[in-house]
Amino acid sequence: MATREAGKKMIMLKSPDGMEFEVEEAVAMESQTIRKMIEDDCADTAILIPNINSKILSRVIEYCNKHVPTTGATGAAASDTVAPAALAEDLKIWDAEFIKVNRATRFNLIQAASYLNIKGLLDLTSQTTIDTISDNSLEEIRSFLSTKNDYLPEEEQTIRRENQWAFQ
Amino acid sequence: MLTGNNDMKPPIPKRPRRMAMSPESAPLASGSSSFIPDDIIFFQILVLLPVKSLVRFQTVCKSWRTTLTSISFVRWHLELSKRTRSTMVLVPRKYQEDRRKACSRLLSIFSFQPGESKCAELIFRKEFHPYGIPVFSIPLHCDGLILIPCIMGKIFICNPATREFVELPPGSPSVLFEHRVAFGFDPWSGTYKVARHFIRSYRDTLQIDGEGGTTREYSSGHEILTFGGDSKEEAWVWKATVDPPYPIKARTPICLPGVFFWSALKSMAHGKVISNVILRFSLLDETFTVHPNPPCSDHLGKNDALSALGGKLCYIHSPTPWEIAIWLAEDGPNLTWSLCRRVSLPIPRNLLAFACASTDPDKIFLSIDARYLLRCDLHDESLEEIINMRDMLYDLRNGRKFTIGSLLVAHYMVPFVESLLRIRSS
Repeated sequence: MATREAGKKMIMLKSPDGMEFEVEEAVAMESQTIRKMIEDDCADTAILIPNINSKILSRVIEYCNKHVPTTGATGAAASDTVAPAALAEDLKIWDAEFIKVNRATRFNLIQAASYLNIKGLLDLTSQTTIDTISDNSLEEIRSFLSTKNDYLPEEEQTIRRENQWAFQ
Repeated sequence: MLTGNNDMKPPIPKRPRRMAMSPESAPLASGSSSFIPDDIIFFQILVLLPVKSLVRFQTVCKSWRTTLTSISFVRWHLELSKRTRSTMVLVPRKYQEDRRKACSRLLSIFSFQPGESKCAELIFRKEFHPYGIPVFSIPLHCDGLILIPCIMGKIFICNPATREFVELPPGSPSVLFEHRVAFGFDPWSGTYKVARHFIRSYRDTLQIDGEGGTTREYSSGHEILTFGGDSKEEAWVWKATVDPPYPIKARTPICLPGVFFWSALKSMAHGKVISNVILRFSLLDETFTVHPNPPCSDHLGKNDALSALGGKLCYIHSPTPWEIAIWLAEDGPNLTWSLCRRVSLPIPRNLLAFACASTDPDKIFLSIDARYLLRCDLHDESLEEIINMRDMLYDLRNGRKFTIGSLLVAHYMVPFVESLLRIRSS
């Protein structure tokens, strides 16, 4: 296991397309799934992250780096001098920029956040998805989530009639 | 398929489903498949939507409808709503001297964000043909359902978010017509319960102390109606419980999870109430226990009220129009009362002050005479006037807005959270 910078423990993450990422243990532990592996001593060698390609994994690591509490690599200078409220505001702005991605990338991030169990990232990606779909038509929703309408026309009409107000 | 259960947490993903991606949304890099488990789609993403979108989305496909109407989804949606979408509703009611007459042709429920706006938007309206809605007392709220208790005995429950509106079946007759109703969630059975009290008969006897007064003895009953559970056996009927040990007073009871608190009449002399007690009705074993009023007052005066604050029973004692004392009870085998705050009112109360929690744990709302809404800081006891209901702009959302001005109207203010709960399963 690599150790660097005054005792900071490093973890190696591998994506299925063969890329390796060396990250601080504290950053990797933003993922509850990886935390569990480390705590169960299953993290001696590189951890293979299935289903998450290197492009998405590097974005996920970028997110964890930013959100790791206190003396994370990026937040170290700021944490002593800036008020917590200002830091939280900074993070919000950062998150808003971070999530400006296309739909496919966002879906991949949801999938990654869900597999790696990173609550903050899952909440961010979910909320962004909601903001885009709440006013969509049913057809748009069906194509967005690739779901087929299996109602008979008369069944659909009955359900619509019962809830007419929701369609106005 | 997701099955109905009462878990407060979203279930663990069981059956990940591979999502077919359309070409324009296909993953950009090869070697990775993109699927999101159903449980993430429903319990992480769709659950964040407001009720109106979710009702619309039931038409997406059959499995969506099954999941979006399942008890586990509805309960998880409610939990998230409580954290993020707590608000208040206003139910105005015209003053009507003769309580046997209707007070209005319409029942209107408005939503309102206290402190943020002086405008309330209509969210639900129901016409009552042909006689109008009878006079009702302060509506009760539980998990997005609003119960309207009419003084003369009719009881309505509605979910303003889904537009469901139901009248409860009539209960046992009562010889006195002032009714009150309790309404709350029973965590042990996962059901909602409505309780009512009634007086079978009463008898006046002349007192023998020579002063010519009378005492009144009541035969009083109590019954509950259960709904909203998983069981198909819910009969939608009133079931009698044991009789209350003292006759229940016609004052709005307080409902905390699993418990109803009623004020009851302990003793009378010369036709006057001498002392009241608090009856704690447990929904677990359906028994009553008797507890004293707080030390400030033996008798729930006409200017005193029971309230609920931060999950505790609260007694608002108002000895003069300019002051209230807020007492809180620690629940347990005995209710132990302690004085929480004394508050000097900036405007005199005429009748009653009610308290309710705000989203900020250090601040509470005080509704004075269902007319003024104040926010009280529990740390420094400062009071801030949120609104005088005369100035409230009621928006009918059809282009018409109005204020009530000096008309005699009770503006009932009730905490509210939007939910998908169904009153009667279809």
